[in-house]
Amino acid sequence: MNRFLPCLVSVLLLGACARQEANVAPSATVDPSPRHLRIVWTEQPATHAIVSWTTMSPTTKNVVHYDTVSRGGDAAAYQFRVEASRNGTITLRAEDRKEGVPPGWYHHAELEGLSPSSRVYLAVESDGVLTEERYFITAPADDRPFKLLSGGDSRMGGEKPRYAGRTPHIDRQAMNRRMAELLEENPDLLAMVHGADWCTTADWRHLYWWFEDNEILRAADGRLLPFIVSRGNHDEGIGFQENFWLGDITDANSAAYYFTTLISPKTALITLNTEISVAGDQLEFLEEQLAELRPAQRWLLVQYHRPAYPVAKDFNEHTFARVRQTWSPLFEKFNVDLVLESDGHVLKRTVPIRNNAFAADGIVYIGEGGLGVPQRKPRPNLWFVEPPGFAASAHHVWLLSFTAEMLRMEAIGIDGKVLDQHTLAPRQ
Amino acid sequence: MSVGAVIPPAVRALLLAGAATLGLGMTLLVWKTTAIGSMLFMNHGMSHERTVLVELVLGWALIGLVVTLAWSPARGWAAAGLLAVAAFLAWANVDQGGYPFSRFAWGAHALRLAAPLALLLAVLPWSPLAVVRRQVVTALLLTTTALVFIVHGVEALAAHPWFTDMTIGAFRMIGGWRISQATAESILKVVGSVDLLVAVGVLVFRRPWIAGWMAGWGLFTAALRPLNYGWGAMGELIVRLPHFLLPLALLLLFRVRAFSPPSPTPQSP
Repeated sequence: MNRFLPCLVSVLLLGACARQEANVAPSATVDPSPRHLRIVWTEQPATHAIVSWTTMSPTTKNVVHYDTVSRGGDAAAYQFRVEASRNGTITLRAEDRKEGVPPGWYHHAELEGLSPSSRVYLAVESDGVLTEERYFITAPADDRPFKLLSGGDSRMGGEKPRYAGRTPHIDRQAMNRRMAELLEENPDLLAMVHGADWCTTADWRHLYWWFEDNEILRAADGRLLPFIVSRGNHDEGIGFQENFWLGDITDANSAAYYFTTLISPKTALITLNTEISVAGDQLEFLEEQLAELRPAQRWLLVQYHRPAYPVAKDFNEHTFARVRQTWSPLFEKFNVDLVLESDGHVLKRTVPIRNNAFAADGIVYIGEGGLGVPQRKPRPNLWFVEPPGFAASAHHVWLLSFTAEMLRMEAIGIDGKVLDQHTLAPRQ
Repeated sequence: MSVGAVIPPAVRALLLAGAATLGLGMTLLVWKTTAIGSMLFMNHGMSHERTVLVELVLGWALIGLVVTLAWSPARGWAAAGLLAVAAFLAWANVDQGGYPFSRFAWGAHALRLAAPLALLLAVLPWSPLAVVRRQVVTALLLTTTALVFIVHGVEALAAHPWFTDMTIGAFRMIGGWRISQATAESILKVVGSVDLLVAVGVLVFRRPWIAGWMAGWGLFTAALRPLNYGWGAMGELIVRLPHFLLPLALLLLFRVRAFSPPSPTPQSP
């Protein structure tokens, strides 16, 4: 007994560490109507896109009807249609049931062979129920000017209790309205580069409300803003893979979420994942991609979640140090133009950095997460955000404008004011 | 007093050192912000400035507890205070999440909890405890040491990304070798299996050499943090020193037991 009591205690404690997963609750009502419609861009957004949506009951026929001209939501009139290649039940945990979110089913379809710089009108059908017609614009195959939004940390932002999955997330919704206005004002705005921590967890009680709030982010004429997806430290869990499927990228390695997006013939964005090994396969991928892309690209950007140069959190903390020590030397070796970071819940633009010091030809890091999440204060006396750098405690999204002559970045606040702006000239 | 009541002075010193280094390590961590500050900020709507202030004050309070631990007769109270903070930190880590295997934090932090608790049990003037003090402390150290190795073993087998990167970094530091992720993950499978084996081994066989291995491995893995990420990660090493000191205390307890004379049989009046 004396010998086996510690064994028993160990087993019990380990059991207490494990987290319960609930069985999926049966859908209370049959509701096949497609919701949470969203567009995801991966590697070749000029010709390819993923259309994702949710139904609140299981469905058998899930189709995207699409065309290059508006068909007003008449399913039979669309020239093209593709069935969802991924359908499944969204995992529910005990906490999801407690919060009372309805069970959901995910659907993902891939649109291939799209024409660059074209409107893609689409209506999604699940078991005979259609959405209204929406559209998005594909990436260009020529060197025309365009814009992107960049931001992260949309995981909450509302009244207490803020940590639960409950709505309303007031600040997140306000930021979504701001981005919808930017979409209206900028016809050349192509996509949203999301720096992750979409929700507090990737569980359905959080993702459900994120998708509900995301309904705000569309133009009055039905235009949608495609997402370029990254994964953050609060996006751990099967729910993220279920709801943010990236086609071959997630098929090959479902936890990976790192890839290169060729936004135009002269602009590439590398999305990295700070939540997996940064010094292993991903480092090799980064090195290969930078070596291949740098000579041909005018603008070469990298995005990921945990910052190399945190402004609100501890600079020496190992989750940041590992990014800084492992990836930043490659950014410097290959002269990356701009790095997009999140996680800190603060607005920042660093001075150009090389060898961990100010250098006129160094790398600028912007961020650091303000899509509704409560904002922290920047730490005082941080050399890398002192003027001409910038840091503030403010909700924000970055509007990035790409032309042949310059890359202009503007931090747009929750009230629409420009909080910071800066321009970069092409390196070559 | 029975033999079981005696905690050897060397073991007491190790428990004291374990609790003190835990306190200092937690001080360095809370001054850089931890899950406690994050929880106050995110869950309870406290302003960021105030959470920084709370953690600053908490850090000084921890230093006060360490000083009390070292030089005051109120050692038990100080140990209880350290235990409360360590438990709060573990709970906040589980609650806030946001890092791999965060839901295992209670198990992963078991030796941080055991350091002040074992010291408390060693000094607590409570008469029912007096006759079984050594057995209770031994059982606590045994259970928590095994638990930490089980949790870390499982995380290693599951290729915890931080462990993978530290393995790659360790090879780079030792010989300038750049090993692949696949190699690092294979090494972690061996490491994880050994962790599980020694955890079960120490529970079942209670051999001093197993406890010695656990102490050495605990020190090596704690040291990997600053070795990989520089002096700024020193708090990560110090807070993990109980992973070395407590298995060492366990080793001494095993040896004491092995060389103890048999308990005196009760004499009839």
